[in-house]
Amino acid sequence: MFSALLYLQFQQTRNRLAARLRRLRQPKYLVGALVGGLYLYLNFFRFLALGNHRGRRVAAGTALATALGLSAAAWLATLENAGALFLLVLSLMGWILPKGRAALLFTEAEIAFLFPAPIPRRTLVQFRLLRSQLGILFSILLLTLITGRFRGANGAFGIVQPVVGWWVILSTAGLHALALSFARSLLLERGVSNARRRTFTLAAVALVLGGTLVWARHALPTQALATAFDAFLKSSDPRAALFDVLQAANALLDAPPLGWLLWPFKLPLRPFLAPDVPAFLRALGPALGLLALHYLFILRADVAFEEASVEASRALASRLQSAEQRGGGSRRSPAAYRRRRDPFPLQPGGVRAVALLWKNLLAAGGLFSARALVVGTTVLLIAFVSLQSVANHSGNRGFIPIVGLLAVEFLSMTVLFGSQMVRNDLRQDYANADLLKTYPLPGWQIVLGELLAPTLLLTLLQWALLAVAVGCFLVGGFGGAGGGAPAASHGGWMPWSVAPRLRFALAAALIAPPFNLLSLAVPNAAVLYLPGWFQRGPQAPQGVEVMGQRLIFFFGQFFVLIVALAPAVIVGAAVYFAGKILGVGESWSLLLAALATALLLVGEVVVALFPLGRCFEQLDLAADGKN
Amino acid sequence: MIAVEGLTKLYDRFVAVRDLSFTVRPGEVMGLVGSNGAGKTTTLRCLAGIIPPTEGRIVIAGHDLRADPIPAKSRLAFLADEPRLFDYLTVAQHLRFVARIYRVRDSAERAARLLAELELTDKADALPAELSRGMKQKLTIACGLLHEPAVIFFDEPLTGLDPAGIRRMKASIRARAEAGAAIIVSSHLLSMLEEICTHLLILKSGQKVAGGTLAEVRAAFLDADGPGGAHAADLEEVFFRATDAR
Repeated sequence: MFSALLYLQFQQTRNRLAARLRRLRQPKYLVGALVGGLYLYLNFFRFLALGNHRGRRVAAGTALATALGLSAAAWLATLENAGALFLLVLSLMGWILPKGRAALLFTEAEIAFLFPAPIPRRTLVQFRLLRSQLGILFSILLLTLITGRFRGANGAFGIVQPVVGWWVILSTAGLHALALSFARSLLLERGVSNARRRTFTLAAVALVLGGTLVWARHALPTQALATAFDAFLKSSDPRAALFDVLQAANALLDAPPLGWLLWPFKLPLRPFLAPDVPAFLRALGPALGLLALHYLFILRADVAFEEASVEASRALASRLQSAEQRGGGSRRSPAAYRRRRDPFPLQPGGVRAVALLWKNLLAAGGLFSARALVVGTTVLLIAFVSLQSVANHSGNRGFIPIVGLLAVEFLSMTVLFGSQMVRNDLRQDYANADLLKTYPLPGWQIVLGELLAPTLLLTLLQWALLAVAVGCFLVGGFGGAGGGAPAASHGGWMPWSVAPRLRFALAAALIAPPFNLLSLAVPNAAVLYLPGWFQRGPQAPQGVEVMGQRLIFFFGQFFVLIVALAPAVIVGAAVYFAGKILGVGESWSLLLAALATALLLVGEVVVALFPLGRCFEQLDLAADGKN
Repeated sequence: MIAVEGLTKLYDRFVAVRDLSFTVRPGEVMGLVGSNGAGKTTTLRCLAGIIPPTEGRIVIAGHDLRADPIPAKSRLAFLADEPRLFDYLTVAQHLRFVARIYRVRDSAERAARLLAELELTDKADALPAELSRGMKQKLTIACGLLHEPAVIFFDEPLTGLDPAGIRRMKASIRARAEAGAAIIVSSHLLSMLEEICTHLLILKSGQKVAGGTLAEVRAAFLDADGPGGAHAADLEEVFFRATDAR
């Protein structure tokens, strides 16, 4: 019986690999594979390949430990404690939060073929566990590459230790999660309700934490965790203080009864963290023993998982289908959508493209609504008033500009990556392109309508951040005093008083909408002109070659955006310098330059819309995958 | 009215539809039949403006679909076999959206009437995820009919409908035709087509192998071997004879 399941898994894996290799005949995948491979090599593989040479120098974890003055043993103990605590918290969450019965995730096809077939339940479980190993092996590859980047490949014995170590950790974690779900189901079958299970668990956790705290108060040295943390905040030598914090935290986590509770969670971590071969081999035995215990429990627990599995698989299929229809993005279940109020009243008359703006704002969820606007504005106002009040009472305004700087930093992020973050445009709606093409709208209106919602959302976000930054700099007096005093006299870097600063902010606010429109037009143009390169939904191909394609796609878009921005930037610069030469004043010149730049950007978008619209009209949806 | 002249659609070298010509006048319901892969859906997608034909001319309600697509699309509705809805729009919001796209002035009354007709009134605030497949299909139909199109394309319209829904759908198609709409229905359900269609177009490998009124198509495939001499074959027999698909 199991041989048939092995055959199924083997054939699926083989065919998938063969299909991937076959598609390398297409230049777009071959180029993608080369670029993706190069990226992986430059970022990860070479650190493994250079293991004992370069690897030593990039062992960032060890470098951190040395910088903190921690011994290797203390560093490993810290990692072990932190990892065990993390696993314990995950385990508790997996035990307390879920309320349903155990479910093993099968595909809908597997359910259709295997569940009605005369296959013992235990065999199905084994099959599922076997299949999960494929995912684990892939994760091991990734984690080995990533952790190899930071620890070098010179652990206990090169590549073997991280591979085996990660396998033990991931396999145990996977089996543990399954065992928890089985145990929950067994309790439910025996009449122990979710509420009772949760109550008992929380009470036990409280007892353990209480016991640990009691022990800590009596047994820990005077340099307790709180004292160490307080010292860290006030210390002039944060490295030494951080050393104390870590030592105190380790002592607390080793303290009984928390230490006892953490002990089993440390076992699977020890092979990975072992400093040498003997330690690795010593750690491997107990870790494998724990793994075997989990496996035996799962096989022996005769838990009915079929009904919940069918439901879970259906939900997953629904999420995948929904994501596919939305053109990728999150795999949120359609059932997770909530009714939203109309972002604004949509009248039957008027410009048709506005309907697409309206629809895509609804897709953005609660981010865009009158309520969100009111709440956002209120929060900002309260925050400003609070900051002002705190600053007045404490006499310390130093922290306010930091908030402003953070806002500026986030604003910069939205400028650089905003068009990749907000995607409720053609990238999301491409899957509905056949529907959109039946609508009586010229192509340029469809493209414009699709661009409006993300442009609006990004712009509002940027304006809000700009308002925060300006408010903070005015209140906090960053770069000079607030209240209109000339900043230069206070030694600030921004040589303007309030009014010019507001003009500067106005200039930035003026440029934001057309800049966003243009920066969003670029990826949307990429979707229209290269639909075959645009990967859509969870069913889209995956692999190194696709990663390479995405890199090419991303940097290609970035390059196009820079080229598209160049004329506007040049014109803006010319206006700025002309203004300065004519004696208009620096901030006024900047405002005029922003106006000129914004107008040119709008002009560029208008010019771009028509070919993009024609491209949409001529898009042959049946043949797009061949591009 | 739908007028198609020399419609051809190629995918690379593969001919999906070859030199197809036909006319559907107001009040007529034309059944589009053919085996799987015969080119029915490709034809409908070309007629609805979803994919561009490689060659040929399509006229919808007097407007050339290629030269004058906006007025042409304003008069047509394409109802696909698989309901295509937006996950995050409720039933009522779908109708508001479509009303703006098609600029339906009295959309509120029409929407209310359609929702009542399709028994969706109490689902007006439901999201697609909360609807059964049949209800989703009904919503698609409501969206398609909101602007009272002069030309309607149905692709497997009965998929997912319950018996009552099927009866209503058939009645609805007839009623739209009687009101003057030109309709094309693509389906494998020959008995249903026999009930509601006035005309038939049979495709095989992208080419027309039979076309005309039901009587004309039947007459073209007289059952000469049947008991009692030559008589008109039923539609199933006609289909098999026309396509050699037995």
